[in-house]
Amino acid sequence: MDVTTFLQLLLFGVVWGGLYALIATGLNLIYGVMKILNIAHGELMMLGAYLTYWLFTLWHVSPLISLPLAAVSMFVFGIIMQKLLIDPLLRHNLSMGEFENATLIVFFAVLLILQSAALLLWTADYRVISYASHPVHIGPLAVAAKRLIVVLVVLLVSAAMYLGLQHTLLGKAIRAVSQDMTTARLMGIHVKRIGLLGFGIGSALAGIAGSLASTIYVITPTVGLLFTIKAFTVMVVGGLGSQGGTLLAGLLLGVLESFASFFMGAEYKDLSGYVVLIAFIVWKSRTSSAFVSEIK
Amino acid sequence: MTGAPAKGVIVALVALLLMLPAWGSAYAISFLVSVLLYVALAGSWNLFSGTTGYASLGQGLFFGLGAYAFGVSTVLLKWHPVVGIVLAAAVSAVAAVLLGLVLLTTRIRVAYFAIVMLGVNEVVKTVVANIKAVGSSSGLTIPPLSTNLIAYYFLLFLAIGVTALSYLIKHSRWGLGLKAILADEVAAEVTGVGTVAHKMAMFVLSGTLIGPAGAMIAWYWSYIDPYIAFDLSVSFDMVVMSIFGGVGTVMGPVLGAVIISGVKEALSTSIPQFHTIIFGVLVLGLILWCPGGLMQVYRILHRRITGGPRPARSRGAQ
Repeated sequence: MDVTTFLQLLLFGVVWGGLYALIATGLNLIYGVMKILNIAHGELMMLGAYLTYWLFTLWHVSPLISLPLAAVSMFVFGIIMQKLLIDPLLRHNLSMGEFENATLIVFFAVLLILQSAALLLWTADYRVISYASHPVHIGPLAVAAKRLIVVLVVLLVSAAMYLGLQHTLLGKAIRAVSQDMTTARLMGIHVKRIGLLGFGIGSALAGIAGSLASTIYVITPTVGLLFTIKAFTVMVVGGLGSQGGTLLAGLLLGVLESFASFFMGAEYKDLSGYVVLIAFIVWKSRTSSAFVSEIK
Repeated sequence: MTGAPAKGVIVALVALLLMLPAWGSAYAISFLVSVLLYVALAGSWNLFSGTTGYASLGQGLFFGLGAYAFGVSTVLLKWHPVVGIVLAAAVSAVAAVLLGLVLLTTRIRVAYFAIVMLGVNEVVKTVVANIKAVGSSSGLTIPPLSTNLIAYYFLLFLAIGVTALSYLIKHSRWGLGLKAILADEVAAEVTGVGTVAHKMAMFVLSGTLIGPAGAMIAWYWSYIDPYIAFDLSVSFDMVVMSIFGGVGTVMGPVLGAVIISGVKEALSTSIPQFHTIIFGVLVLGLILWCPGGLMQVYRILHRRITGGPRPARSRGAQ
């Protein structure tokens, strides 16, 4: 393998990895403030992707303009889901285990509803946007401009998230709630409002990821679950609540997949991620207390 | 459900199901085959995940392993189908022991356990799809059943067996140990409950019961490929049905499986366009109203009708 191929694979991996990291950051945020594993997270991404696709196809709206639109609409969607689905559950006064079971099935139902609604509205056809496909040359590498845009947007959003979480009052409140809900409440943080905003921001990130994905990947109504599982891998390997870890783990997964599909064939692309996830959890559950259940 | 009237209802129902093929149509039989399959699957999922709290999102792995053990032994090795079903149970049991030794000997976080099981299912699916000897992704064609009644009776007995086992375990000393693990694993261990033995035994039991169900369905379908044998929806359906009915209860998974497969069938024939959406909305409505599932609804109704005292709120997923 020559250097150019190596760099090309690396670059492809970074593009995908950045996308995984973005989706995982949203999932991580929601898990942090609500302790919910949103299995329908990838479906929000799918909605963002379709929004971008239709705006582009019907009115030639550039995906870069649809991107903030997707973010805002998924933010609102997330808030509505929280009000409609999570609030009634919280009123039941459930134990942690019961709450986890209930949210798992609730979001599984959301996944089913969104998938079949998308299937009804837009059929199962594969949708592709041809946007900014002209190659850009960086040294010996030739890469489609849209892929560079993806990397750039991911970096910008990640930086904004980092600054927001570290330096604003809202960001500090989100981190406090993620670390310890009870103490956060004692410190005067409105835990419920932070949960609502966190859910909204996490969903908005999924919308942004969808907008980006629509330019470099085929969109179908069932595209979501695969991305949810990948985001979960990234979130676990990167560490719950760790933003830097998430970005790094996302990039690593993307690069790993890129090399795995080159050397072993495309059918092993998804497999490589699962193997890493399983090995990592098994290893960590024996060495790190963070992977061991304290109280169920 | 306890008491003499409930026992009478159960005996009558089983008798009805045993005699049903005498007048039931072919459509009724094929519908009941899928209902009984899901009663067996949801009940088996509940035997491990419902009693210990370790929700598995990949228990369909054993379904696929059972289906492939059956396919390989009857088609490639030309062994008798009965041997194939026994082999399916054995393969699932061995796989469960190996997985259990890795995952259940520590107190792994529930969410991580759930996702690892899902991952193992996907890995095995991909590996099977790339083994030429077992037909790669195009799968195996299996000589069909001489009559669907074989599948009907096999799954009927399996479903009854799983439910009876669940009842016996719940009301035994072993069941008390599981209850302690569900409530607080550390406390259980400190009090002298062999937590690893309890978790391992239930996990292996669950897998060993799911394997033969997969084998019988492979025979009934007379065809398997990696994507239907290791389909994630098999894994998810067990979970949804158990939680919908009532996790950790004996009758919950039975009710969940019967009602969900019934509603799905009714909706998909009457309103094929919107059936998944309506189904999703129904599930949402029930869980938001009663997070404990149908068994919680049953308890509320029972209390209203008999006017009995308010039962103490149960801790954990009872």
